[in-house]
Amino acid sequence: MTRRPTWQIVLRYALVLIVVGLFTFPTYWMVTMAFKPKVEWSTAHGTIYWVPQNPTLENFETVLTEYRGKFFRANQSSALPSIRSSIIVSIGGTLFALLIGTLAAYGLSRFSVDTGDLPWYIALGRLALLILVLLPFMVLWAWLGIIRYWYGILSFTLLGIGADQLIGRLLALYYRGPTGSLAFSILQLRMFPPMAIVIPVMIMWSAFKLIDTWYGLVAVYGVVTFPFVVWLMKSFFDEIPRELDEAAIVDGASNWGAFFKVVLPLAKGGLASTALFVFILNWSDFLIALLLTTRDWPTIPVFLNSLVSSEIGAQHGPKAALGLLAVIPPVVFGILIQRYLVRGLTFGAIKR
Amino acid sequence: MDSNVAIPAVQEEQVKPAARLRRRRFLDMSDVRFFTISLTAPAQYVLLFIIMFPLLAEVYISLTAWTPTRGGDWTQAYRFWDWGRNYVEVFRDLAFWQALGRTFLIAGVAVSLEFLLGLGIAFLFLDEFPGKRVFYALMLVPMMIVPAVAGYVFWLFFQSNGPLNAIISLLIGQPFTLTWLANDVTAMIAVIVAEVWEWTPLMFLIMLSGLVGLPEDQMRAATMLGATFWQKFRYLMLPMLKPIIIIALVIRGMEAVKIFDMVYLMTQGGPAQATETISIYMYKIAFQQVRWSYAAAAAMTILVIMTILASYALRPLQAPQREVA
Repeated sequence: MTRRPTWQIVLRYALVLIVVGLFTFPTYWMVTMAFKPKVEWSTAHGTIYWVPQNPTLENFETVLTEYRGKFFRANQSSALPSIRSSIIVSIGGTLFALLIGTLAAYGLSRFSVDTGDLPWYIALGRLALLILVLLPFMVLWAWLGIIRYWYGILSFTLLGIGADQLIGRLLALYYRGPTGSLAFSILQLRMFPPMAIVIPVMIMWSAFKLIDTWYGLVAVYGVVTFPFVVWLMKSFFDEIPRELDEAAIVDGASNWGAFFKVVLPLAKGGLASTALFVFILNWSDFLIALLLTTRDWPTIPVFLNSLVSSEIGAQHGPKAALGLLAVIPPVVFGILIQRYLVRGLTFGAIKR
Repeated sequence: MDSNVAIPAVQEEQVKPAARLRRRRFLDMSDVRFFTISLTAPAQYVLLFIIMFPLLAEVYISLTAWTPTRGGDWTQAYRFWDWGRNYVEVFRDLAFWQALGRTFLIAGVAVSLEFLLGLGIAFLFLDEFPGKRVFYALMLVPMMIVPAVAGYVFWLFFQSNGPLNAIISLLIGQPFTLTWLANDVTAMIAVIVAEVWEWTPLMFLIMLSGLVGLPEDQMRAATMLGATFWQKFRYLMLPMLKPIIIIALVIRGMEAVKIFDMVYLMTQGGPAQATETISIYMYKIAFQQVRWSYAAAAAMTILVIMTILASYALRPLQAPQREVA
């Protein structure tokens, strides 16, 4: 370091400033926009305001209170319900994903459970077989007219799970190697756009009366983010020596006791960062909430999108204010867990 | 993996009498096989439970000509059974393939730019310098911003009276009013810029952790032997970083093809179809044109294509995953 000539240090500093400046500018623009009074929102009046001239909290007030005849359409309500809904749904989804994901991760880490990473022709062949078997039942259930009710869906789902298990057993007879199960081959479908499955989920949710409820969203969020929990927690569990569980069992603990009293406390830090990471994922979701909520439980991103302007540029300030509020939790949590962020976003493939 | 035998072996030797007594009980809590199953079963069945019905409903609808506007309840879709004409139509639909191509174009360009920028910026942050921690934290902020909010911010950014045009006006000294999002090429550029802005920090973080982890003595040896920076980069760093680079590219690529929020908020796939990615395409078919059976067929086609691509894309992940750790 001391051997570096001065011009290199200066050049590096200049480059860092430019790069960080470029990457910070959009955020900066949103933050300042949130504090600008209406005149300064756009260049309509001839000048652009790089720095708010008369900083004001008016935008936050507008977005957090009921319609007062100011900028929004007549039916505009305050953003508070959407903030509440975002908090409840994100936390609920995170807890749900943690509950099922942590157990599965421990199973994958300690016992050789089939991870279902099978070649695509087996995965697709298995899927095709399942569809072939179940499609006649689907049509039958529809013809009987019971598929539209919750008991029709329930009985069909149970039948489907049975068929899936049976196909798995049959496949295991003829194919050496992992045959997986539909559930774990879901991990292989990471690349699959959620848009493609959300239409039938809407149908099922409306049959169960789960559309526009917090628990309906919690269930979907749990399922969407649970693979992240599995892969993250698996890598944390892998770092805990297996001898510790064995020692606990030798000392008389049950399998569950070894898990809850020895392994889980040791993975506390990992569990906390996984929770925060999954919370960020749920909090950031737009697509699922857009399609599965209507009036009562729209989350912040959906509400933000619904602030349609009647007059172009009419509500940049309030929108930016709400955006700023929405961005605070993920940024705070993200900085807290930045060491684990890479691990999470790369599905645990990179562990630093 | 012989891990599954380790614990039962210990149990058999140490707590044999107790285990033998308990074995008679139904749902034996101390049985290792039962334990393993009860660990993974909740996840497995919750997933199956939520996926099974939607998947079959999707296939069922895709084989009919049913839409919510015509033919009433979706359960009655069998009355419109048409033996997969939708799939033939998907294959003939130019817009579908164009949307697919556009998705891969956006993903390809954005991910390559993210990689090059991320690697370059990682080199800047390799040594200590005053204020590094602050700049480092600022650099990470974009990837934590909610994509929907980022989409809105970039929508603001690219307006004809927005800050970008103001900066360009300042630089060229005369008023510059390009409506970025209303022009085919510039709208595409805008979407890619937003995507690159949001995810370059991730690439930067991955590359930086890769560079920091490189063995120092080899670098020093190369310097003492008189290697230039370029030689060190080409023959030492690049080969050693290769596994991490591949993982980073694959993961970003897989996420990038799902792009929806940003495009939806910035351009809604427009102007016309200029920035219509596969997610936007399906959204439009299902919720604007209300052709659900066709949307379901398109979704199934995407499922097959993506499963095949993903299994090839994931292949490099499986081997180096253990080494990198």
